[in-house]
Amino acid sequence: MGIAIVVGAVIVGGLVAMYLSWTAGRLDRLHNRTDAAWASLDAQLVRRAALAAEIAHAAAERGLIKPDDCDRLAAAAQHSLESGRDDRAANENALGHALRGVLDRPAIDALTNDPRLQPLVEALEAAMTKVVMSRRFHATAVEDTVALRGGRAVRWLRLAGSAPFPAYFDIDDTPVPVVTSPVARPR
Amino acid sequence: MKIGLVCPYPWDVPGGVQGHVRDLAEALIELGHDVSVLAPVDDEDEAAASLPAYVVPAGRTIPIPYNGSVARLLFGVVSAARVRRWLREGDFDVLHVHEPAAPSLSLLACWLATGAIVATMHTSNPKSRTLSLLVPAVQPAYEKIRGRIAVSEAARRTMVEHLGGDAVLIPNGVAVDRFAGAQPLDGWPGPGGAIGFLGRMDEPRKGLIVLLRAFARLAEDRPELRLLVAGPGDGDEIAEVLPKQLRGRVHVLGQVDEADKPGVMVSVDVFIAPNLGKESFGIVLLEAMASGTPVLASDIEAFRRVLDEGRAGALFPVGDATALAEAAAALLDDPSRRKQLAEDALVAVRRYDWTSVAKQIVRVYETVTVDGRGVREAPVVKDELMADVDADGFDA
Repeated sequence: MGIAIVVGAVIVGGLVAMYLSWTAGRLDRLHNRTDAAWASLDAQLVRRAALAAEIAHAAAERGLIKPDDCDRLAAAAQHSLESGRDDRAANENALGHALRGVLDRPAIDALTNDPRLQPLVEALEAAMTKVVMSRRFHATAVEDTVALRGGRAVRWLRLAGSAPFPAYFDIDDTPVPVVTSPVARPR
Repeated sequence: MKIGLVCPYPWDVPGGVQGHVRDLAEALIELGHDVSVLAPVDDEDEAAASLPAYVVPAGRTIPIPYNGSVARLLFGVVSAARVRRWLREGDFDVLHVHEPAAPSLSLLACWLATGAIVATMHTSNPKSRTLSLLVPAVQPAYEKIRGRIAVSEAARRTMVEHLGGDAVLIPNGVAVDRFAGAQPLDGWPGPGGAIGFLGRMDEPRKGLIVLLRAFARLAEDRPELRLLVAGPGDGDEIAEVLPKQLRGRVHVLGQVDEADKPGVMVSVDVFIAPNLGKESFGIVLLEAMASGTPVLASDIEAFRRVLDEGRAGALFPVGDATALAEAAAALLDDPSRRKQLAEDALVAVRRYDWTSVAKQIVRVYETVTVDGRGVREAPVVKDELMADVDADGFDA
């Protein structure tokens, strides 16, 4: 009888330990995924800002966009690149706003008709799309991590260890429609 | 980039997901990527000769009831071993699984791999009880997926409802070149002109009724005009709506094969999509556009977008048979406008070509591979759930 209880307790204890170690492994993987997603989002945001700065300078040099607009875009890009942790979201929002404000249809047409600027605009379009993608992937990673960290066992037994609670990165990342109409061409 | 694609359904059975994986693989290869597709093959001896070089067979599937129909899924020791070997030998930069919601080869691949994993969701089934029941079991494998793609807004919504999180919307592509240069059916469109419809006849929201009412009006002034109807259904509506003397001018083809679609589309002067709404994506419009047939479609949001705000095809108010008849008459009487619309449609449809779609998907790959560490086999010890399955080397 005594032995049966001991054996039972050992089996139950073993199963609980397995579950906990498995959950800790899941958590660890989720934290890694969230970190990787942030690294990607950060890289796409930096690329977007660097391209915006380059386009602003080149467009100013060649007089393709109004000087005021070039200055505005260059300044927003610079702020974004110099952001710290606290003002990052605000600065990225401001850059997105500046991009949408400055790069209207005539500006895009002027830029894409210039052989030096055209590849930069295409690269900017790719970077803006990838900001949208990587931000969505990051938000999903944060959501999954937060969901698992909300579980009782995880909270009470501190399975997450010292890993910081992941945070969403909320910005308006609506891209500039670079290719509006494939058909709108001079007749 | 070295890309590993996983198709959950048998390669030698036709289906939407299989077609998607095939077209994507071929477009990626065309773009210069290194692609390997892991897929079940039900009859390996039979299929061996016709299997493309990029397909690696993963074994046979076992039919099980799923979502009210029979799904052919694949399980077992042999498949786990084959997946592991494929992952090892492929040394992929990115692993792209399709439809991992089902208990399938795709889910198995998620289980056995770690690193840069992307998944595409195809199903749009808002109240799938099977899916809801499976969520706790698939959640740990799902947590490994770094980037999710949905092929339609409906598929995205289904995923969000069951699993949370979000996905990037990248619609299916159209193999534009497959539709070019098709030959019309014998005697079509004919001197009196012809208009066409392709879709389920018995599904009210496809709007065949609206087209039939419009045809009745058009036919009064145009004694030679004919209507070509293709798609599943028995066409009872035709007898209900059309007076007897007009019925002979409606030709019902019934269901047509993928391969015959382009020929059907070029057999008419104007292709009509009278859908009443709820269309997430106008694949049939894209196909008509790719075949070079001018399109006249309901002014619903998805169609308006595909038709580039009416520049690549004419639009008429949803459900309005009179407006449809007038718009169709105007197009039938104006060959140069038809020609212009068809030309503009060919330009517009390129955006939805598989090459453009594959480029978007590559962007997803690029966002999940920033760490440059690629895909590795998951360590066996960590996957207690799979450990017993994978104990013996059952490699055939």
